[in-house]
Amino acid sequence: MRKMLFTAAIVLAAASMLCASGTDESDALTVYAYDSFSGDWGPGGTLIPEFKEKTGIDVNLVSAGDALEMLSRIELEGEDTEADVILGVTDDFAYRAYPYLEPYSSPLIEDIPEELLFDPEDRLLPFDYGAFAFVWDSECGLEKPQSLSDLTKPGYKDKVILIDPRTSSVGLGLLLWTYNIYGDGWHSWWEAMKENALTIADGWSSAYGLFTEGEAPIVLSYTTSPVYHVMNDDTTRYQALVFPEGHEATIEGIGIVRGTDKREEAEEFIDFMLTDGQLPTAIANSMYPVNASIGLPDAFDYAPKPDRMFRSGATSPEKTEELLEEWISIMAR
Amino acid sequence: MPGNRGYCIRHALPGIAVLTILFLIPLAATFSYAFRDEAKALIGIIRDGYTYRLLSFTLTQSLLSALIAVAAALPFAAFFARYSFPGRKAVMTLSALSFTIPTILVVLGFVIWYGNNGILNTLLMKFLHRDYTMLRVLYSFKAIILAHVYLNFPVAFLLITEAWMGLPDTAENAAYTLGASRMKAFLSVTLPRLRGGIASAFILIFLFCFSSFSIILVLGGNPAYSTFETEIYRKVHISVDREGAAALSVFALCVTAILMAAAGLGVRQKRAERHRRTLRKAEGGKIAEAIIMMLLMLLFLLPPILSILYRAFFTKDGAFTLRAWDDIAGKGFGMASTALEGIMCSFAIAAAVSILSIIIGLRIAEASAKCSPRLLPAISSLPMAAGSVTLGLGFSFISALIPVKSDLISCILVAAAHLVIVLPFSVRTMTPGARAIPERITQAAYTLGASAGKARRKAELPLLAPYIRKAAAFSFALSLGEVNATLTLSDGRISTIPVLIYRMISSYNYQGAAALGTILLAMALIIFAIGEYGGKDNGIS
Repeated sequence: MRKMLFTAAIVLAAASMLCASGTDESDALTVYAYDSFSGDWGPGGTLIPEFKEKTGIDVNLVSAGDALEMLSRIELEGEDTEADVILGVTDDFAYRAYPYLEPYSSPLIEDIPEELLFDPEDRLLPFDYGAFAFVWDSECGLEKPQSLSDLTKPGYKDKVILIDPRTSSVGLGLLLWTYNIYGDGWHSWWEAMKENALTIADGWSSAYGLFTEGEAPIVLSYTTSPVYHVMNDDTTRYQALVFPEGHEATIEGIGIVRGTDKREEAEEFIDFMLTDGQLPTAIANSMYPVNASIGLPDAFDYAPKPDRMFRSGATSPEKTEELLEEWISIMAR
Repeated sequence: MPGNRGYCIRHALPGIAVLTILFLIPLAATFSYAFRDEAKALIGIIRDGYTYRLLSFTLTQSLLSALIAVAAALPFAAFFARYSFPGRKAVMTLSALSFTIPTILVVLGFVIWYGNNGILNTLLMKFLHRDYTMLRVLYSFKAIILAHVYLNFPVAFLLITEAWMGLPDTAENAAYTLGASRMKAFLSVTLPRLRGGIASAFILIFLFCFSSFSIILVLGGNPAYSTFETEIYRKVHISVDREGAAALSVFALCVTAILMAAAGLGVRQKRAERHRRTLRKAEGGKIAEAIIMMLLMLLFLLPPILSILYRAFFTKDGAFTLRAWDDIAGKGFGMASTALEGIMCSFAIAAAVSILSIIIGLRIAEASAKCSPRLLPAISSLPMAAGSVTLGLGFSFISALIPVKSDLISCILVAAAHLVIVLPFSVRTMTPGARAIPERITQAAYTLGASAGKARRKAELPLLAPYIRKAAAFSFALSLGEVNATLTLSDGRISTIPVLIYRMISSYNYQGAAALGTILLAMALIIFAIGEYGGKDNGIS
């Protein structure tokens, strides 16, 4: 038994060496970011060394789960948090982060379009944004839907894959989207879609998987989704549908944690993210840069920017909860 | 050895301690939310009619799934536990594979195979010359049950076969001699003694389906098919209502606890005489029967898995490509060694977890065989009964308490979380074995002057070896496929294969994910093969 325990300990130690992918911590600037920012594939992998080279500041990038888990962590840690900067709070949950942040009115705000500046007090500054959209297979033989209402037509029965707002932020985006377009009439859109949707998946991953397997030609995703198919599959077959009614947008913000002793370094990091960091982040996250002067690669031509956008954060948390409850009573009861 | 309190406490203690630290404390902390403000949230849940709708659907689908999985597994277990034939072990090994795959790939495998545009339908349309989808299985209640049975059939099959093989056939032979028919012998002699094994399998499957929700939402195709877990998930991740989530978890846990207690009371364990069944060699008609049995099982279990393999090499349009493999080898994503690192990392964690789960699980199994037979397995199943979202809440609580500083700590935390998750399986796999050890063997060892430790090592453990191997393989496979706890606890420091699979998918690379899934399956296959073939065969009597 001892021998086995010993073996287990050795194996664990070996595991920790094999699995290591973290960075060394010292008195570096600690940045909390969501999981997909750091890691080998996120923009963090290239941006952090670049920042260090430029400013000489060490960054300790902590990936704190998804955006919501990151927020929970800041809330749980409170005053004791090691974080100096948090990166990736979306505008709809920004209200939860505000109590822990201090304002920073960066000079670079000038380059950001006004409608993207969701926090009037500059505690969170936007660094990228995206919009939800339906992506469709243009070779499916169906008529191209021209509006959100078109999807409720009988011709699209079992042709649309939706996502559940109870289990996915993308799904929640669609719920708010329909509310922003139809107001109180949003019920009837969902009632019609209850029939027309092939399925209402639990998350974006499974929904998009069903779509690429050809189970249905229309799926809820992002305006930027076609970029992947252009870059990786060299096809323009999959296109994002831009509807004249407008699209639900989600904006990601970055902010300085209250009480940090590295205010200057934190400011430098934010400024870096709003300049040199813009393009790599936009490409890796498949979002649009907030700095309008940034040129994007050609593939982004297939990621049409909607003319009209609704900010998810503009719907109050209480209203969102109310909508969810109603949604359940329409769809699930 | 009833009444031997000290023995029991000593044996159960390490397991209980691990569970307390890793699970019960964070759980209690989470649950305390439910009782804030004079349990307002809990009372709200109890009063809400929607809770009972969720309850009725959750119970319906999980009872049905567990019943069908067990019923489907019984005839196969009956055959595999009595006869030996070529291919027997290979099929047993393959049957356990579906156990390893992360949910998202199971869903994909199902869609590729059973989907309206899936392989099965394409084949049917081609051969029957029809131009419409013939088999609409997915996106209905049937699909939920089908997927749950698919995932849990191996659990039922392997656990029941193992339990059955532990039953000597002397009693049945006596029944035959007394003129009982085969059916009668089965119902009145075999089944009562199998009840423990069947109940174990049933409870595990029931709990597994109780907390399932991804499969239910995607394959069910209708939001009316929602379980408690959907609602808990929503309260945690979307509505940020910790009180409500905790209250619902408490409610769900109470329901499962009542059901498990009822199941435990219904099964009175009788100590079986230890005389492991010797397999009869299948001959003549039995060979034909064996072939049919094996074919049926493989036809059910393999296609969704093979679909994943297929997708790793072929595009949706059927063109052969090695691009996915280039991607994970580093040409596509600039992640040169990551796939390899992921493999080694997954392997090392799974190995550690499987060893630890044997050490701790074995003690719990032994203690529960010798002392209070019902309580301990129930306690060790608690993490499963609490559901994955609740577990995740507990883990994020731990990770906030221990601000992770090093890879070693991340690794230990992840391994510990996996341990809590696999423990119910390893305990339930080994308990029937531990129960079947006749006291007289241990006592004979004492008489011959062996110390307690030596008696355990030399007499009891060899008898348990096949159960231990099976439990180890199960634990290994489960740890290999685990993704939620790994993500929550590792701070992004640890990239196991399932974590990489999810990252692949979030960058739209489903083919790369299928390729990684193939690697995962290959690893699991090797481990299960060791579990089946490794070690001497069990001709102990």
